[in-house]
Amino acid sequence: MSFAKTINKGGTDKTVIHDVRAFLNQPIEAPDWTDLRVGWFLSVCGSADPADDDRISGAPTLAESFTQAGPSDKWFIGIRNTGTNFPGESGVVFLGYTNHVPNQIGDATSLVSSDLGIGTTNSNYWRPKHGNGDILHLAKILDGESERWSNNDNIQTHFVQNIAGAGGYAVLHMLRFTRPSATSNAITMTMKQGVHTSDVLYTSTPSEPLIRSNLEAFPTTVQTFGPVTLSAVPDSIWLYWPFRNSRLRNHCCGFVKVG
Amino acid sequence: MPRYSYGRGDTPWVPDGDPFFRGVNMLLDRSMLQPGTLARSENKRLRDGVAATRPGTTSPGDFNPAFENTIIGSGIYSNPNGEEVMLVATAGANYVWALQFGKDPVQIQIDPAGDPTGLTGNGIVNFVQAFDKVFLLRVPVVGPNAILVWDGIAGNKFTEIALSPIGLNLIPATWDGRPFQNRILLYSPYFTALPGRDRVIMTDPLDYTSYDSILGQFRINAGESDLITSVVPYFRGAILVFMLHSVHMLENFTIDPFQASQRLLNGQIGSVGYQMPLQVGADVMFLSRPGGIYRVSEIALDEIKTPPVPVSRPIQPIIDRINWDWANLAACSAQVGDQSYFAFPLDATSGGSNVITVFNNITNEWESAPDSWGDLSFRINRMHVTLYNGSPRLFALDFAAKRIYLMYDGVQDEINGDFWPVRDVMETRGYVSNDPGSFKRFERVLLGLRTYDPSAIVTALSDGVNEEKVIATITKDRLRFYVHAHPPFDPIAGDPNEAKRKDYSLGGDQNFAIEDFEDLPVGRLDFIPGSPFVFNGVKQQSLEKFQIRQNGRWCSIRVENNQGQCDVLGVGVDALPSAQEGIKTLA
Repeated sequence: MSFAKTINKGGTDKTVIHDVRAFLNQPIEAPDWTDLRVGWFLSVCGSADPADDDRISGAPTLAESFTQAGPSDKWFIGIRNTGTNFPGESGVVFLGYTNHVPNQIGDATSLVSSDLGIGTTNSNYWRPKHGNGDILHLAKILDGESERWSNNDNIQTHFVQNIAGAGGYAVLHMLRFTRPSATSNAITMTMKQGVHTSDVLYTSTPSEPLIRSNLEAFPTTVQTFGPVTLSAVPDSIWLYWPFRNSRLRNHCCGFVKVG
Repeated sequence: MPRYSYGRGDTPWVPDGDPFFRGVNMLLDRSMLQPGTLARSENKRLRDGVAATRPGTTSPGDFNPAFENTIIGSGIYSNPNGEEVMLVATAGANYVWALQFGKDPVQIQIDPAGDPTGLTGNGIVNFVQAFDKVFLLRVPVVGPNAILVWDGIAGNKFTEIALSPIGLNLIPATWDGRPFQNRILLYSPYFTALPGRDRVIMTDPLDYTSYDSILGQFRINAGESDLITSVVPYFRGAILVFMLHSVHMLENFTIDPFQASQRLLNGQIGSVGYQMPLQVGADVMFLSRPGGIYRVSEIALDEIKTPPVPVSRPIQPIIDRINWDWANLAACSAQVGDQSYFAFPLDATSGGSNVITVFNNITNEWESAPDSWGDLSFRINRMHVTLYNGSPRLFALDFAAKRIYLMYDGVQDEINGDFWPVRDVMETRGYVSNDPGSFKRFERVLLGLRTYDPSAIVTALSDGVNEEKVIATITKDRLRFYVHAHPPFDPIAGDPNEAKRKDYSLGGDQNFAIEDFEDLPVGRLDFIPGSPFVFNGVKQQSLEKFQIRQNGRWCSIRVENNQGQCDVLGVGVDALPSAQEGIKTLA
């Protein structure tokens, strides 16, 4: 079943555009890893197919807010164990960026115009957020319906709205996972920490060498989640964008097994 | 100078073995096989005398757009004004996919004007080259003249066929066809009713739209009510008409239909599979039930006085497992280079073929019987040869899974998005050490290997029930050298090309998988293909010696590899004759 389409952005960058509210569940094989790093060059565009394939701003706006009715109304950028249920549901382990709070509905999921932080000094970026605030529910470790670890603030994710202002159309998000041994389920997750941002860089030339070199030289200023002993070891990349006014664009993604 | 010397009181070992491998013969007892003949060869290639692991399977993005529905037909169209493309029809679509290497997939629309449906339908679609155009034929026929034609021009559509201004009668729709000399031959394979059952329609010369309704139709073997399964152009102005229970030759019919003659080549041997007959040089190979694969030159009764022998006789155990009910639709064949490939459904397999047998046209030997795949859902409904990166390559289509595979590429099988190792098995002939009638004590085996990240099991077999003995497992450490006391290879600072390393695979070095999507076609996407295992093509050679210590009249060696590549260069065994050692003798 088709879940996405490929465009050749600018004639040089093959880009996968997810359908509205369609997920990517891509298995990965990194046997016996003890230090696994995963990254994505991402952006967002309007929802109209194909008219909005390369529209990241303007009318109609990509901004949106709606009430959460379940896990499919939350965003997820991370890794999980193989399965068909959504993260936050029984049997699913998830580690990564998300605004999901297990067993909690009625709050808002929003995509807002933002500066490179949580303010509005400019409108260079789009920023997904939880209805409870700008600094809450940004990334989690989930095991089934349990929230095993959650940190707040300084790990916000942004997506480019103004290429000139941001310095490129794609943002690089990266996650690092470590465990003490190749058989351990005690996993620690880290990600870049900045001032209200976890973004690594912005570029209009997303490429395999660029993502690989950044994964190998992972940022040193990080926020740490865990270690948490999980019921399963994640083995798939999972991307899900819950918004209806915008679609997620994947320019390049992959992982590096450092240990 | 002999490798081993013996003392005055020692009994000399008697060597036997194969320095090369030519083919496989599964029919004869392995002690009767000639040197160079394997008793079992699965997922192997013997092209250069080495029993090599076959290459893997990939699904290139250029040939795998997001098919909305199951595939129902395919064909190769060689556009004289353009390039060769693979045409693929999906069920219920108003377009056909045109696929080729290095180009994004293109949809060729079907013009609904004049066509009964404007759709591909839900049955079977066949494509037939018609001069510089291509026909789209639908099964079942959707209307009396419902043939669609595409002129190969991008942006133009498949349109309803129209009679040329000088034409006599518009050709009727049939199920299939073949270009032949200056005409197109149309027929309906496996059509059970008259007149299509045994009729071949010939278009007018240089006019693919028109035919003579009196002189342009030929009925073949009408007296026996046999039905056509396939038609293949032959040489000297003749075609071969394969029928369910017989094979016929139609000659001299294109210049003057009154001069046409029909010749019964064989009335006992028929043909199965409308995609199966394969022209190899001046001969045609075809599948017959239950005998197997025959050559036309072998079955022509007016030339051959002996009973025909199927060319597949050495792999008869495989032929005996064919699911004949599905072979009509699913059996198919193709030829690339020296090798011919025949795909069958075995045992209870339905929906398509699940194995390929490989025949070497140069040595006239079977190389692999069969090739199989770890994913048991893998099916082959059609095989085509078309250009891939400038070279003719074999493609296989899995209709139900909506996948098109590039065959024999890389080291792993990428099936339905998952990676499977190529598991190959070979068993040598039974080595009798110059004395087929006596028991021996088999002491040792020597294996010449050429490997890449292998994981192989070596087993000695002898003549008796369950007399199998695992004598060794073979893996290669990519960090170790054959040189004694040589420090281990350093993947970061070491010279990757330094000689005498045990294995040159990139397994440990390939610690990343990053997808920039540059190989994906533009358009809808069902899945993101996996990042392939990188094969650098470097195989290290070694000579392995293992103790056998098994008694028997003969000894056969099985090498079973479960990952990477394990090519067997040669096999030798050493045995002690029974007379000197007092071992049991043959009763």
